[in-house]
Amino acid sequence: MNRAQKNALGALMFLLLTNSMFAYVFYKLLILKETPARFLPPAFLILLGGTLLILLIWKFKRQSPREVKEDERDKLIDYKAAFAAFISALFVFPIAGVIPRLILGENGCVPAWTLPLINFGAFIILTMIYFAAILIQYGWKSKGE
Amino acid sequence: MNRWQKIAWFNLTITAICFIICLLLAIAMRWRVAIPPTPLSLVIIPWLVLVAISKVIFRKKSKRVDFDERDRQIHNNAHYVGLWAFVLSITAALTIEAMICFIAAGPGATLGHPLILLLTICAGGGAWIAAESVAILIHYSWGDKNA
Repeated sequence: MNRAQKNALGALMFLLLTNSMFAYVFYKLLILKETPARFLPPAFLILLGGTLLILLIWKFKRQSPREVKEDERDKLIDYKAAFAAFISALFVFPIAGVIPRLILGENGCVPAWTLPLINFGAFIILTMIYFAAILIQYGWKSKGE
Repeated sequence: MNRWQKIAWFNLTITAICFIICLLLAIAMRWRVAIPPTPLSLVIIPWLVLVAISKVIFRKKSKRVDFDERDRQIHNNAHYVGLWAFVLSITAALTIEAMICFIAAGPGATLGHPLILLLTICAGGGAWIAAESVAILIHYSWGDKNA
């Protein structure tokens, strides 16, 4: 597994972990109107910190001293992945624009706090697509050489 | 001027005209003229149709090669720039809208009509087409005959 794959896999894991935590807290606080379990935030922080530490060591430890940082193929893969993420924005933003109208109806009012939430959600989705596209292009399981 | 430059100029002009019309409508709405946000979508639909049929309006002249490797690269770069503009403009617009709402009406502020959100996305589409057209024109040196 090369450096870009490690980076992408690490970021994807990190985003999935953070998103699942956010989704759980959002569901508990806003839908069930309950307080999340007390042990959860410290447990989550430990898990997140541990994951980050492993990922950083994994990323910066070179397989061999001759390992190059990035070549032409890596640049092309990166370019295509960014392109895929941007193209997905063409679907993500319009869907995010239509959903409030469908929920609230013709005369409903969209709360202003949903706007930064749309930005944040779109950013997370686009970033995940970007890293997934990198992994797909290198071929998930192959060594990437 | 080649076919792609003509299409880019056409798209840029149409987008600029629609932007000005939308701006005038928005100013009219601000001054409490009885215009709901719906007429804005009546500007957007013709814009979308015109941009979509621009390649049909400026047809390929028979037996002439009008798209080679260089054109492909120019278009790839222009698509990239356009999509960047799309994402950045929507993100910026949503942030500014949220800030204006919060400053004007506090934490409980609302955006008003749900259509405004959709119009913001359409404005992002306008930024995309405009940025892509400008990128194509810059790559071809605007109107250079040797391009």
